[in-house]
Amino acid sequence: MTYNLLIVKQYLPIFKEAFFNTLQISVVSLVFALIIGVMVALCRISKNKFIHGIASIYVNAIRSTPLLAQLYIVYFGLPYLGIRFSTFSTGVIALSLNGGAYVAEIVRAGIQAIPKEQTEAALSLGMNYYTLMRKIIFPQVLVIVIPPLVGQLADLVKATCLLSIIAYTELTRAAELVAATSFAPNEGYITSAILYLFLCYIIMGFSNYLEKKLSREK
Amino acid sequence: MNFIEVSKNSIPFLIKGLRLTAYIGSISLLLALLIGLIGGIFNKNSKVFIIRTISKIYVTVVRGTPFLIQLYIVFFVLPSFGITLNPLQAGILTLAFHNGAYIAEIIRSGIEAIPKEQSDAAISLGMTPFLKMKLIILPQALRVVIPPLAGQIMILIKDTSITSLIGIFELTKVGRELTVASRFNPIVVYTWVSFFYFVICYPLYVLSVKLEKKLRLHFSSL
Repeated sequence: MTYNLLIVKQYLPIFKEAFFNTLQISVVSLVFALIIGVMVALCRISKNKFIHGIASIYVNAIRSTPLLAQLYIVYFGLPYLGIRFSTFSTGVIALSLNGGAYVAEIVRAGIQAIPKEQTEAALSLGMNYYTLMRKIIFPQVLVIVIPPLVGQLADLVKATCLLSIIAYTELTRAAELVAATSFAPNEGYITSAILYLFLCYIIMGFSNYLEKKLSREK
Repeated sequence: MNFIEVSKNSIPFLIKGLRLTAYIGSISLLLALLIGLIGGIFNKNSKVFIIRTISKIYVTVVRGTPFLIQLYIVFFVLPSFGITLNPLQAGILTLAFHNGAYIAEIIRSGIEAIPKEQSDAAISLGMTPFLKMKLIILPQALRVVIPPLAGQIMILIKDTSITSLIGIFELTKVGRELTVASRFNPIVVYTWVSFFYFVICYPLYVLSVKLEKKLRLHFSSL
C-alpha cells in the first residue's frame, strides 16, 4: 500500500475546508434536530390521540427508512415540486428531519425516566403544565439526556458523509475529489477516515467530560 | 392518474431491487452475527493483551468512521493491498465488518451483564472456559441482548441502501435509476422505496419492543 504524504499536503486546503464544512453542517443540523426532537417528544407523551399519532408516525417512518432514501426524497423530490434550496440547506433539512426523530426518542425516554411522583407532587402543589415542565421535569431530563445526545452528534457527523452525493464539500466528498483528481484513493479515503476518527474522538471525549461534570453536580 | 401509472411501471423493478437487498442483507447479517459473536467473546476486557488491543482498535475504528468511508476503503483502497473485490463482495464484507463491531459490543454487554456468580459456579464445577461459555453464559447473554440486536439488524438493513453507491442494484439504486434514467416522478418512486424499507424494518422494531418488555420481566425475576 502506498500513502504519499506529499499528496496529502498538496490537498490539505481541501481537507481543511471539508473538515470545517462537516463540523458546521453537523452542528447546524443538531440544533434544528434538537428543536424538532423536543417538540416531537412532547407530542409523543401527549394525551391527545391525534397529536400523539402524528408524532408517532413521523418518528417511526424516519427510523424505519434509510437516511439515503430520505435524502433522495428531499434532494430530488423538492425541486420536482418547484422548491429549490442550496446544497447546504438541503443537507440540513434532511439531517435535521432524520436526527429530530432520534432526538425525540432520546428525549421521550428521558422524560419518562422521571418518576411519576415528581409530576404528581408538582401538580398537587398547584403548578400548571408549563411550570411543571420548566422547573421540575426539564432540568432533570437535561442531565439524563445529554450523554446520548452527544452520541447523536457523533452519529450526525458520520451521517454527513452521505451529503457527498449532493456534492456538498464535506470530508467524504473531499476524499472523492482527491481520489479522482490525483488517482490516489488511498490518500483521499484514509485521510478522510483519520479526520472522521479525530472528530468522533473529540466528541466522545467531550461526552465523557460532560458525564463526569454532570455526575459531580448530582 | 400519474401516480398510479408511475407506481405500476416502477414497482416491478423496485421489487427486483428489494430481492437483492434481502439477499445482501441476510448474508451480511449472518456474517456480522458470526463476527459479532467472536468479537463479543474475545472482547475489549479480555485478559489477553493482543485480544484486548485488536478488539479496541477494531471497535474504535469501525465506530468512529462512517459506513460509506469504510465501504470506499474496502472497494478502492484494498486493491493496493492486493485484495480486489467486486461491488457485491465489497458491500457484503463491509456490511458484515461494520455491523459486526456493533454486534460485538452488544454481545459483550450481554456477557458482562451475567452475574459473576454464574461464572464462578461453572468454574467450580470444573467446566472449561469453552463449556462455561457454551452452556452457561451465552444462552443467558443472548436472551438478554435480543432487543438491541434487533435494533442493530434494522440498522444493517438500512445500511444496505448505502452500498448502492458502489454500484449494487439494490432497492435504493433501482429507485435512483428510475428517477434519473427513466425520469419517473421522484416523489412517487422514493415514497415506494421508503415504504418497502418501512415494511421490513417497522415490524422488526415492534417485535424488539415486545421482546424487550417480555424479557425485562423475566430477567428481573432471576
